[in-house]
Parts: sequence; C-alpha cells; structure tokens
Amino acid sequence: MGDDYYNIDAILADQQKLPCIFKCDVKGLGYLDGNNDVDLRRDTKVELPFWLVETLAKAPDLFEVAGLPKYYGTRVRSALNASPTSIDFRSLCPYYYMFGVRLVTLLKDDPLTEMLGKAFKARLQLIMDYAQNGSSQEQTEFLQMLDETEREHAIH
Amino acid sequence: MSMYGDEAYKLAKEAKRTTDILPPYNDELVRSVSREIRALSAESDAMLTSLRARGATYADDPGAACAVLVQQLAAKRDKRCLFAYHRQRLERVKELVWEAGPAGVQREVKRCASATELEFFDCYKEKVVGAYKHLFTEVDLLGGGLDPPKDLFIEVRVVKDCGEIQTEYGVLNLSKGSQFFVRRTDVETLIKQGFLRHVS
Repeated sequence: MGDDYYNIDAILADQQKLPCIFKCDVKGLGYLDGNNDVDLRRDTKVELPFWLVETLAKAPDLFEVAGLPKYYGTRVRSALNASPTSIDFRSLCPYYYMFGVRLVTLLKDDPLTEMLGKAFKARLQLIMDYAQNGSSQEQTEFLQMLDETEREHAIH
Repeated sequence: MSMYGDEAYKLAKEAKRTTDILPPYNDELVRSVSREIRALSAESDAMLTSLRARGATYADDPGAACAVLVQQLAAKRDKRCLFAYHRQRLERVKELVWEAGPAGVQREVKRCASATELEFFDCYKEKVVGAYKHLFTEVDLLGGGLDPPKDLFIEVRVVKDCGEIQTEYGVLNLSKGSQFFVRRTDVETLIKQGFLRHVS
C-alpha cells in the first residue's frame, strides 16, 4: 500500500470482488449471501471486495479464496493470449492491471502475471501509436477498450 | 445487496469523476460514511464485551473473531475513502489559491467548499502571502495568477456600473453591459474587485 493510500484509482481497484468461503459461521454477516439468517453459515460462497480479502486471506484456517473473477478466467485468458489488442478491458474491469497486480501478489498466480505483462506490452504499441498520431476510426474504438492504467498512458 | 463500504465507494467514485474541478462538498455522503464508521465501532465493541463476559477469547470463537475483523477492516476502508476524498479536495483548494482572478475563484470556492475548507483557503492564502511577500515586493503574488499575461491590451465587459475612470489614454465611462479594449494594467484591480470581466 504505502504511497497508494490516498490514490483514488488504487482505492477503486481494491473494490473489485472475489468469490470466497469462510470456514466457520460468522456472526452478523448473513446478509452477504442474501439469506435472512443473521449469521453467515460456514462454507457458503460469498463475493467479497478485495480490501477485505487481502487481510482475511492471511488466516487460511478460517478463510479461503474460492476462485478468480470471470475476467481472469480461462476464457478471457485464452482470448487475451490469442489477440491481446481486441479485448475490451473497459467493460470487463476498468482496473484490469492494477487489480491484477494486487491479485497475483496475494495469490501467486504466475501464469496470470506473465499474461498481464504480455498483454500490456502488446497493447502498449497501439497506445503509443495513438498518442503520437491517432485519430482514425479504428483507433478511437480501441481507445474505448483501455483500462485506467492504459488510459493514463494514452492521454498524457 | 448493500455492504459495508459501499457508501465510501460512492465517495471515491465521485472523487474520480471530478479530478480537476472542485465539486460541491458532498456533506450527506460524508456524514453517512462517518455514521457507518461509528456503527461499526459500536458493533465490534458490543461483540468484544459479550465475548469477555463469557470469559472466552477469539480462539474459542473464530466466528466472532472473523466478524470483528471484518468490521475493523470495513472501518479502515471507510476512513481511507474519506481521507482520500478530502485530500483531493484540499489539493484542489490549494491550486485555486494560486490561480488567477480571486474574484471568480472566490465565488467558486464559496459555492463549493465546506466551512472548514473555506477556512483553510483563507489561512493558506494568508500564509502564502506572508511567506513570500518580503521576497517579491514588486509582485502581486495572488493577484493575477501565475500565468504571464499574453497581451498588453485586453477585452473587458462591465458587469457592475462603476462610473468614469481616468487612464493614460483618456476617460473611460464604465457603464454596465458595455465592452472595452483597454490596457490590462488600467483595469486589473477592477477585474479583481468583480466590476469587470475579462472576455477573450
């Protein structure tokens, strides 16, 4: 965290949700799975924002991350490997990289790390092209598909 | 499904939307986030008290431990959003102090800032003037902004009647609604006081 504490983008990126499981009944969190129970039963899958997950995951006997959001799933991964420049990050997750980096630090997902890096490099070429001489129809469309980090590069 | 931290998230999103302007202070949302923090703290306190009353520790009741942890994290998150929101606004207020035309700026600040921000605005201005005045005696520090003027002559429109003024080039009759092409230095104070407006 450190320098990012006051960073609005970092705050927004940490709001992305992950499927998780508590390994015990948690008092007063019943509303999370839409049940009328007061308590959250053990082993119920709930979606929690990353700012909760990050700390809770340090207690593996009480809490477990049960998968990744869809936009880091196999389908998007293979699409991203096939053609990184035609993926619309804006509609998938506007903080694709920022949140991705946070995720891989927590979960140690090396393939994901590598994929993010590759995708960023591949897309960066188009972004630089746009920044230097861009206003064609195609480029404007591409600009709509950038995530927040990429936009910073494209616009400034 | 509403969740702890959702209100704070709204505040952060608002800050993101309004990076380069000073939007009206969102008192309502700030209050509701503060309320949430207080409620969270009360809940954890209650849970701790009941735990202690039973003579138990967290290890005996992992469910309660999780609940308290979630509440603490949510409160921290709420605070982070509040701080970030206010910090971005303060940075903007500071910029406004340095920007041109105090009359216009002051109007913007007065309309959008909270009472505390207004106080900060005035104090900061005083401090800036106090710190640099003796170094640059000839410069009107916060008068005209930091951008150098582009022309000697500017086009101004009269917003409020202010009678006749004498200039090097003769008499100007400044009646409301009329427009003049005049030397910048002749009218700068009038612009600052809000009688004239610079039209480009």
